[in-house]
Amino acid sequence: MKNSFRCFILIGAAVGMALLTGCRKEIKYLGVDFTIQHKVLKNKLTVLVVEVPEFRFVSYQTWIRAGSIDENWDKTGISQIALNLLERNLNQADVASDKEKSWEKVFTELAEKGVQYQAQAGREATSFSYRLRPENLPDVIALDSSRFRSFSVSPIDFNGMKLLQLEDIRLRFDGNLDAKMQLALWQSAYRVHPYSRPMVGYPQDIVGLKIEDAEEFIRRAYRPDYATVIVVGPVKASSVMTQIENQYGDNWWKNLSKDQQQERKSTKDHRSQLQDEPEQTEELYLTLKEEAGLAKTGDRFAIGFRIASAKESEAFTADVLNQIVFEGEASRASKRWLSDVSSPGTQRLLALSSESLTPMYSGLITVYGVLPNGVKFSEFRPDFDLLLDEVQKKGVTENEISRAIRELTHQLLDNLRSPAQLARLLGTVFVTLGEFDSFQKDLEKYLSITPKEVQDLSQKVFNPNNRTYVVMTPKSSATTAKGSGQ
Amino acid sequence: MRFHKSLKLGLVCLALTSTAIAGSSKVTCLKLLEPLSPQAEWMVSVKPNLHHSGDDSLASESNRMLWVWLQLQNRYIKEKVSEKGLIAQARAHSGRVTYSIRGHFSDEKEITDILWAWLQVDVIKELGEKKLEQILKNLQEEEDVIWDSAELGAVARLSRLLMGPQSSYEVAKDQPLTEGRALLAQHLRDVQAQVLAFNDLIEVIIAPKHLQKADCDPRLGELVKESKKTIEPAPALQRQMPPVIKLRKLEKNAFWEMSTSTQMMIHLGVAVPSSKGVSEETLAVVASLLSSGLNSKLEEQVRKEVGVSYRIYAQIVDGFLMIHTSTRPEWLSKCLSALETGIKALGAQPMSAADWNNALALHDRSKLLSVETVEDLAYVKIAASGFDALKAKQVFAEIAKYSRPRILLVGPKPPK
Repeated sequence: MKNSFRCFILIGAAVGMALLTGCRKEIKYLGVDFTIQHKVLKNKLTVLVVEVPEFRFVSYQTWIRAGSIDENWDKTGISQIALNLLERNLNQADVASDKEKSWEKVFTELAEKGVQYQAQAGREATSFSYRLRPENLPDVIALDSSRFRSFSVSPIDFNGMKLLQLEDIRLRFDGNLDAKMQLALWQSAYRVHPYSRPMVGYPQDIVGLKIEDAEEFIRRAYRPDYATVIVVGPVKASSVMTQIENQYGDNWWKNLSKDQQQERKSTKDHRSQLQDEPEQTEELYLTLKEEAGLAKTGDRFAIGFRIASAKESEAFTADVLNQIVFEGEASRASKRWLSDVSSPGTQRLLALSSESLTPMYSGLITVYGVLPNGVKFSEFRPDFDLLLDEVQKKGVTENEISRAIRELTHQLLDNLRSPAQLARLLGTVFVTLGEFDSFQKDLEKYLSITPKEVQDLSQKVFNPNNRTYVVMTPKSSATTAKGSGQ
Repeated sequence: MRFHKSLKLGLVCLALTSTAIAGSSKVTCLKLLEPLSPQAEWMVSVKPNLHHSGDDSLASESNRMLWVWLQLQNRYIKEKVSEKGLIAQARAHSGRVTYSIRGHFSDEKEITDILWAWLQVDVIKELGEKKLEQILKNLQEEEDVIWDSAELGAVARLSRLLMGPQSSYEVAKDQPLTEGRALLAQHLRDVQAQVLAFNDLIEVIIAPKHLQKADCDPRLGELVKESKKTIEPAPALQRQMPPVIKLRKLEKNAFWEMSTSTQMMIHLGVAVPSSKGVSEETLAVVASLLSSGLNSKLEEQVRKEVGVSYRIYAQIVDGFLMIHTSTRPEWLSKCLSALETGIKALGAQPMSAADWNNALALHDRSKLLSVETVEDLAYVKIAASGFDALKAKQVFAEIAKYSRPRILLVGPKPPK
């Protein structure tokens, strides 16, 4: 759901076509050739299996539609803490004969068998991912399913998780200028929607969290009907489906009390109550004064342009627009500001990157840049405005669109190079859209984008009232030249 | 001699053809098949004929210049392929230089034509004096972004500490192409001559699985022969950098203030002279061993002397071994002392044969597990020839001498 989410959607179109017509469908599209098998269990858990005998490893991923946007406004950080707690929430009897065996020991034993594991929680989704040899699949299914059977945590462990989370925040932002800029941009561009909050939470909220908050979040967000298990690699789908059904089918939170089960059934979908961010009506500008860093460069900037969500066809055009103007080595910005031959009067950039982020709710095109030592953003801004103005007034060419689509297609196909990439792609599509049946029309739209549509969108997206600027500038030259290492 | 056999490796079906060329040079061709993707990638990897002078710093200097030369290559090729929507890069790894272009298999002829021309190009001549000057100036400015980043900036600073002043390629800004830059360009030509005078060549084609043909490109043999004929002996360079080269002022051990940090980051570099015939691949194995199983010995020592140990990891940068960890400011001196003791102990108590074999097996497995894509596999196979277990053991002994240690501290205030 990051920079090439559109590409995920593109392959999702093929996937969706498969799922519509039955539980087994061969995908033949853009030279891609594979089969997806699909099943929804009685508890509404979705299972997707792709058999690829040529891969040596299996990717096993559990995706949950639970992220930081599902947190209550005064309990930020709980989605990360819930993830950390669930990682350790192994019901020992299910995964080890020795009930006293710690979760570290269980993981160490699997690692010795060559199983690699990672888990992550983002704004919209949480995933538990494993990379393993086929013979270790039963062990991994038992391990992963065990954490969703019952949940318990001691006050000491919970406080430990809070401290760990506070340390994680420190590590993430200490001296990391890019992380600070990114946080400031999302906080500025979104005022109402929870995309404004940091995914790791605010320290003051984390300090006040209680065990009950974690239990409530896990009961509310970690539901089988919000989850999908994805298996890609050299496996037999029928056997894998049976093993997954046996382990997850009747066991998901099987120890919930009747009251808790009733509460879960009656709880409304949190996301159905979320309001999308209102349309932006004015230019937003934030200046950050930085003490550390910026010793050798000029100002840094992050600029956001609000765009549509993944569910709207306009998002496809936004991807093409971003690809032509900012993204890629042949983009207009790259040619103008990263080229090695400076044109007189044109300011060069030391670094430039961009993303077109089209998540569940209205997204952002983000552009990050670094100016040379001593150069202020105010000196660069006329160049930047001129580039946007040219696209708005003169539009783009057929050749530029053709190149952009070719680059986006390359990115799409690169998602098929490993079982983990394909599984991640399927997980992202499932979590973001929850269904696949509108893809075919989306795909047609994507491939038939015209220069006029790109120009029309540029007039809307690059409108000054749709822009958010965050500029990081040195606090003072005296405070940034400390240390013998400079 | 020509032989051909097919191997089933599990991940992909691999067809392998190896052809010996006259003399010591050889061409090896590998074909790897993508299980799902319809895209293809063409790679050519060469082993530069690097000359070693015996001076420790020159090997690093050579690596540094190689990096700059690769930047020239990548800027050159970018202009050739970006409008076509292709992805191309040249990179150094495991003592080799690998060129690659990725695109759709139907464009094979166009892509391989670009690749063969790229392999033979005199990139310095092609770019021209003016553009070369501009690129070198831009490279220095782009390094400033790294210099401001907490993690990468620390590694860059430690690298400078270890290399010493001679290694810097930094060029004074706003200067015309003076004698200094001409000398810099001469260094780059020296590197180019070494890369183009390669001893062996590996061609890898990563193709969609339905394409089973696996022949060496007939142009490769000619390319190898030609490279031997046309490359002139590398000029004997005066290694002293001219006065226009600006040097960052770094003490033997340096401190970089980061007022927002509460921890003291320790970046410790130890000289492991790669000019004594230790390949980068061998050094990479040593770093991997230190970062995986063996770092527990260092952590154990730190825990013993300090009470608490934070994560320790190691890497190879510019041919030097760097060890990174952090501690609380008040525990700094104890932590440094424990690291020194721990490092010396590694060499003073050589591992048993069984421990050594276990460590290597662990490294091999972790390397194999890191293979995510067919492209990763290609790089692993290209690098496989470079490891020397005996040298790796010697490197441990070198580390234990604690020769030319340099320490960079990053933290909230200067240590007392």
